[in-house]
Amino acid sequence: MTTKAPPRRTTAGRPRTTPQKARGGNHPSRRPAGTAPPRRPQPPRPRPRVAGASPKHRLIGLLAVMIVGALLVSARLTQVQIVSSDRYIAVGESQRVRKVELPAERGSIFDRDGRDLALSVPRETVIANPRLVSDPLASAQALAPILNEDMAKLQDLLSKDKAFVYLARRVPDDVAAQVKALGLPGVSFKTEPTRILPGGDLALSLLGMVGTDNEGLSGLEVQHEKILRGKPGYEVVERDPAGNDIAGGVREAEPSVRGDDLVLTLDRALQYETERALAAQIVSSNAKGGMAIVMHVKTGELLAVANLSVEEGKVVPAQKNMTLTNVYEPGSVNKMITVSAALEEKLIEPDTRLIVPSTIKVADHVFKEHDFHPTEEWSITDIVANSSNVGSIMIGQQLGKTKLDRYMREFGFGRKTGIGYPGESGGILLDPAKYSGTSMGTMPIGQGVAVTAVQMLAAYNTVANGGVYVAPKLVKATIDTDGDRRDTPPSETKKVISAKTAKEMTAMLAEVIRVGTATRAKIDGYTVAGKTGTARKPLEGARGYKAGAYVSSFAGFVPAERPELSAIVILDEPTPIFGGIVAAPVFAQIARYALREFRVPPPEVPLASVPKTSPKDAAGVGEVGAEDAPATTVASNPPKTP
Amino acid sequence: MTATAQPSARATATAAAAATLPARKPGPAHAPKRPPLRVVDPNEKVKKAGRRRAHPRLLVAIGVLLGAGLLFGLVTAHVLLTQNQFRLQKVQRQAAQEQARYERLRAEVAELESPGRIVAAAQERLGMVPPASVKYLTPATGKHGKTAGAQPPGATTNAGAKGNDHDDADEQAMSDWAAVKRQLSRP
Repeated sequence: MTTKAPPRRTTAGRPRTTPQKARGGNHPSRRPAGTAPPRRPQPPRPRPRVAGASPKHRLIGLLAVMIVGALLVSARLTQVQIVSSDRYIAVGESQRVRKVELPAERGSIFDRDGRDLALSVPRETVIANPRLVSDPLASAQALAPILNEDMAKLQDLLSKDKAFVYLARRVPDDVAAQVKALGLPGVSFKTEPTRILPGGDLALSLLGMVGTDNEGLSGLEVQHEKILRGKPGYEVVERDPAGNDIAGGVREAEPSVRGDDLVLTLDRALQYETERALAAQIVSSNAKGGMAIVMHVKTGELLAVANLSVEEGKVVPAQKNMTLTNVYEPGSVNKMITVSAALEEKLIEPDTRLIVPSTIKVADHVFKEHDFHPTEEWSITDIVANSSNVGSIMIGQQLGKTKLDRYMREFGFGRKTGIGYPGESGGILLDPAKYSGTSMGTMPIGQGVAVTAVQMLAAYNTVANGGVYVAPKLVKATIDTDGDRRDTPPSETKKVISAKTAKEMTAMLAEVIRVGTATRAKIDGYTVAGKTGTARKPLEGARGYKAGAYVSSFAGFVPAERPELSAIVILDEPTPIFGGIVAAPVFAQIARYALREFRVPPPEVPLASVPKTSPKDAAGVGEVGAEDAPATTVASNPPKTP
Repeated sequence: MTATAQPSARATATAAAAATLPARKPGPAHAPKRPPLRVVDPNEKVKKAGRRRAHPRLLVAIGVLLGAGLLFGLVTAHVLLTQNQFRLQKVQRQAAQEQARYERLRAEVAELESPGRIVAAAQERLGMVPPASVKYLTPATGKHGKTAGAQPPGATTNAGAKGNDHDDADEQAMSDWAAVKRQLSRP
């Protein structure tokens, strides 16, 4: 039996045959023998039949085709709906269901009064689907001048066989508006949070940087990453090909959680003034850079932390927060610790008089004063005011290496401050057992020891705070997304010297400003106490000191009668080299502003007097470290900064 | 087909069926007897059929109406859902835009408040300069303008502590004012 269908012919204009006729059931050749003839005569057939293609067979054939077709469809349905249903469901979902990540907004960083230091704002990122870009060259030509990008680079990006490329990330609003106005096919936008520093470079070295994916890279941004980062969320939506949400479609959302805010101890205005004063002095003294810190005496809060360096003739923010990560040999500012320790140990009194020559031999080395003077009887106040190297070494020898080392550690040297800043250095302090013969000549005058600027300021702050050490602090509070503020615990404190010793030391340090080496640190209406330092700079990676290179500094506090603020200013290789000339005026400028900013009134009760320095002995710039001091272990192994 | 031909055709069909179909099994002996067959009055039949069909028609009509109503309701609900979905999307977009605008404005305010901008504006646009010196006055004990009070050692203030001469202080203050506000003291 053949299943071939007869040639198709049109039946238009011809009366339709009955189904029975159409099937050809009465054809004589097909009628079985013995059956009754039709009751009515059939009309003659209009066309000849093809042999072997009877309607019955065609019907069976057609049925078979339909059955086979139905079987195939069923099989395919079974495969799609049952056997591989999971795969097809997944494919279907992937075409319409989108999981959109919701980036968490990074918390802000505020100063102590809630003024913005760093905040995140949404910015448009220009993206493209190159497969939808019909003319990469024309699109690149249109985009290049707006995005300020190389046209060839854009064309290359737009010609890639990818579905997603970044053209420009976090562009300003006006640029985004211009690109939108072009209406280029395949070019779209994505909103991304961007870190903004409203104050420009203000406190940049301290705050640190944030990466393109909104993660902290350095400074406080990376130290407090967990607090600031927040928690990203996601949204699962069903979307039509046009990108519209399908009503009633799958929708699952986990909203992102904004990071907590960080409230620093910094004062934005004082930070600006500190950086401004420091920058001006760096320029005028032709220094390589500088640091300045202001601290609140009672709480240990750092009110300003400035780090500046010179690059290509311009004063710019330092690459890192040197005040905590870099160490330096303090030089004469360290004499405060030597004298305080001896006072506390009752080895000396402020009016104790010593016969001070111009040179002193320690082991095999002769230490000299910076300015020659005949052998004279000087009080301890004279020694401090004149920054006498020989007198300080004599006091240090009375004290002995064990006690000197103990007091340096008590004042916070040789260990980290507890701020927890990334890359913070604890400084370098030799074990007394490893002291060389000349160590008791170098240590009392601040050579052979390396400290961070914050460590040295904390030591002076201890004297200002009546002999109680207060750990420096940078974070005042955190504010969560509900606006609840959680203050950080107060800084740890510890008694280092007695209040009496602190007062005596304060009075002697005030003499340094009144008639000593730091008269340029004077502030009208206030009594300043402090000490200058002009230390030689060790060679990097070699033994010895760098010729003609000095680190000049001044550390002090004000008002001396009732200290409220302490500060340190350090200049790297300034000209002139003396801390009393280059660093002390910057201290005065910063402190003057800080006193006004924090409304510290001039004291009504004058500072308790100590034996005054005889004016003829106050040479002014005698704090320079011994020029021919032997290279110490610290000098020969300069600390590696992270 | 005519009315007269119908009985004979039926009889033929019945006969043919009887010839081809197997004979029915006789029912069980205890089966209840059927009532005797009778000729049904055509009128009675029509009447009964009419009564039976009246109910289904009503039910069908109600069903169709209900179905149509349900369908219409479903379509309406879906349309409303879709409309609201678009509205929601629009409102969400608007909220996101406003939030972004707020953040941008906040950043702008912070930039305008930054000390660097304020100092630059004060010096360049307003001609202001940092004070050369700061004078501290303690509350007057006498007539207005007089100052008195303790000054720490070394204080070099020129008002109050160093003298109570009202005219001198005023003159000095005006001189300082002229130095600070140069642009205001120009003739």
